[in-house]
Amino acid sequence: MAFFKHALIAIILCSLFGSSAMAEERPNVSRPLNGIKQTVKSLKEEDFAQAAVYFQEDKKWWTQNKQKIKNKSYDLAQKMDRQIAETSIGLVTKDMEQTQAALHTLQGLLGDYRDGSYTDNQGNTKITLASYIKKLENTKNSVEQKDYEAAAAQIQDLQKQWLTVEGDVVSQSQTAYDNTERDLMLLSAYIEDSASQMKTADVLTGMISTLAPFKSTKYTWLDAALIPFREGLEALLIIATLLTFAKKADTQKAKRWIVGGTALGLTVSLLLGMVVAFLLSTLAFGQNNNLINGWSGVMASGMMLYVSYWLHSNADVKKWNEYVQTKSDQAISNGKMVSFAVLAFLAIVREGLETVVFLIGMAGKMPQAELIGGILAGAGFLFIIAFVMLKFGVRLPLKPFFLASSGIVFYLCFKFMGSGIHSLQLAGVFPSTVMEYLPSIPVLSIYPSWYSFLPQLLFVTAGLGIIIHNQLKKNAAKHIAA
Amino acid sequence: MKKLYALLLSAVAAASLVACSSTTGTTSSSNKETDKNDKATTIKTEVKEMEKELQAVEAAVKSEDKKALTDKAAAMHKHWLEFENNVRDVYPLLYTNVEKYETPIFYESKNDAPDFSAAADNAQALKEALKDLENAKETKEKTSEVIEQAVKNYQEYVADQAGLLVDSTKAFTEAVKANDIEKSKEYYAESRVYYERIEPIAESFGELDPKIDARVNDVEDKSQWTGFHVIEQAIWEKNSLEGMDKYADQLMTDVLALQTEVAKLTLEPKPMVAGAMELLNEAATTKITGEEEAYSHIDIVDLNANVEGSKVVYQAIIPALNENDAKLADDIDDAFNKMEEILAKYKKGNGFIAYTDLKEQQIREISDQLSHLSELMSQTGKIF
Repeated sequence: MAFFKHALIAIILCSLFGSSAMAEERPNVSRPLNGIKQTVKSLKEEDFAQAAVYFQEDKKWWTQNKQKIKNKSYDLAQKMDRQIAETSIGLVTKDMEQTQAALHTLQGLLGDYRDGSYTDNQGNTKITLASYIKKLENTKNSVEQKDYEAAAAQIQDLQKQWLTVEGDVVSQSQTAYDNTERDLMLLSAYIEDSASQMKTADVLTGMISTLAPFKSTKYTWLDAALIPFREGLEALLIIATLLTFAKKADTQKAKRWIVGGTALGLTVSLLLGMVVAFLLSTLAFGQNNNLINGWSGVMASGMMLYVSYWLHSNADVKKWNEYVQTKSDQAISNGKMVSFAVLAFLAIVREGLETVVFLIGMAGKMPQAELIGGILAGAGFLFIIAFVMLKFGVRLPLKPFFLASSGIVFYLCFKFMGSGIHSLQLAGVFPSTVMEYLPSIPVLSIYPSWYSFLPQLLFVTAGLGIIIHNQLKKNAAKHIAA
Repeated sequence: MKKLYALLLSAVAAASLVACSSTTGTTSSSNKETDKNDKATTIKTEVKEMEKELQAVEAAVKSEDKKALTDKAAAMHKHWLEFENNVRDVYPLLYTNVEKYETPIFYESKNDAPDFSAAADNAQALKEALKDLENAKETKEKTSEVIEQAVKNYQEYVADQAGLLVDSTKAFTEAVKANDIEKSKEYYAESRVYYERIEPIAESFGELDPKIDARVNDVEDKSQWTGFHVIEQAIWEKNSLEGMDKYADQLMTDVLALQTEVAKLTLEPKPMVAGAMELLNEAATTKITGEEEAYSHIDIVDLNANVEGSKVVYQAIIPALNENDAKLADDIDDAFNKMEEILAKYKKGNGFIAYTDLKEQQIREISDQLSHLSELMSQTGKIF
């Protein structure tokens, strides 16, 4: 547990370091925006002279900020420069249409500058949720104009870019997040099939309305707390179950293996997350994240299927006692210990990198103290849950413990398989074929595709089979005893 | 830990290298080739013709005959405009060379009191440029080399202009300190031209541009206001150079600092092309509105200098434009010519008429052409 604590402190320290590097404030553009507002108002009264006076504010702002913006992005600076020139000319020549159009465009550019949605001099594009929604709208336009080739390319981009903005959504609404992840797969499924291409537009409309409420939300410490909490809860459930089990079996060695796997998972997530956020862009990494997510999910799921079965079969107290006795002081074999460590590692890495990227991304969106406070609160809450689970789990009689933990592990195994395959579909490893008649419950990672649904169906069937089989055996045993 | 980090770093670097390697290719059709050969033959004849016209110009310069110079230079200019497009297609670099010396001769000849010695220098240089053109073989440089050359040429131009700026600012500040209002007016206008031709470059040196070129509205604290426009206000509005000595000294220091920075400068193609756009935008934003020269009203002098500075960039990038979008090169060339034609109408003495003497319709005409030109220039952005 001490190790876990250290790892937590490391996270916090690193995000401190990270946020100071990312602490660039959103530029304040209220002055030029206000200038435009006044200018437009005067134009409505056809008072060009007054409009020119108001527009002076914008020109002055531009003189003072031009170089700064140029250093960030030539493209953006050039576009702004041009619109300011166009407005000036429009005002001099009293061309209402030209002036209004240029002012309108300039207003949009200022917004892009404020939100960071432009291509910078290094060729990186910072995407915000607002600009992501704009991209959804553009894609919808392509679909409506029946330009499916363009739409397919845009959808690929949308899948890649999601990692950059999903942090804004996951902190606000788990449902919106889950649904968007499902819809992203639906998009590529529909656009590739000429029979369903038109439906892509409906999916896009749905996505736009799902995401729109989050586009201009302000972030507070609670959001910073919810990210590690939501992303970490599942991993925590697995690790706490494994730890409790190790305690029940009274093996220090197993405990060390599990903690070691956890620590390694945290370190790798942290390092990779920082490399992605600072050295690569999240955009360039987008698809790889799906691969990490997918493969670690599927592998963890496979291992958990076995762990769940194993836990369940040990629920027979007599058998367990026999087991512990025969193995004397080593109730858990070395091989199993390693697999526990691997499982803990996979469970952390699955969403760990993503979490680090999200948190670093939040650094520019709220005061540092609030961000760190939030992360602390989220991590602290996870810590409390882990603590309670361990205390409670150890006291729990053997049978309910094994049944409950095997249930939890089975549920997560089911979920990881679904979301793992789904991520691999997003990464293009599996085709994203969708069947209308299949259920779609993103919260449980149930997606309407046979690729992810079939293994889940098999898991449930196998699980039920084992329970029924055991029950029948028990009944038979009772019958004989009677 | 450090090792792991370094390992990750190198893995990332390797991955991005692979991702970045892309291939570029150029295509040329045989049709285009024969077309070019035809053009090359015509050019040789036309150049011979133009050399004769230049001789006439030189004679006029030698005898310092203003009337003859105006006529001969106009005849040569007209002829040049007729075949320059072919030259631009086949020998883009040499084309720029001819333009560099031919245009100033033509515009100098329109002045009331042409500078004959400057015209003689340009004529001599033009003669050599034409000789090169006559003996030219078609160049087949790669786009990247051509762009590299373009940047180099432009950098030389910027250094030249900075040198001229230093010289004329020296004369200007000396006149100011000698309390000579008339001379100050003359050298003020001259210095402004050199500054306005390379303004975007000056702007890239942070604090120097505001120190040299800030207008009264640009500064928050009027006591911090320095540079050309402070003295401009003293000359034209206050009609007194009293207390201007320290501003003159400061201006000289800043202009020299600018020259030092320019000498250290290493330009890149993208900022260079962006600079051409900015010059046109500057002209539209502060010159055609009459705010730049609020006291002297020589805004059109500045505007013309902005256009000239922009054209130099355009000329530098012609080879690259030809490769990528010859139609755009034609359009921009036409637009610059039209712009020069329009501005020529307002020439007065050795400069231009005051902004305040322009009629609304005339301002509109200049504005529209400026807007058109700037729109065309912005399309070059996709090539760089």
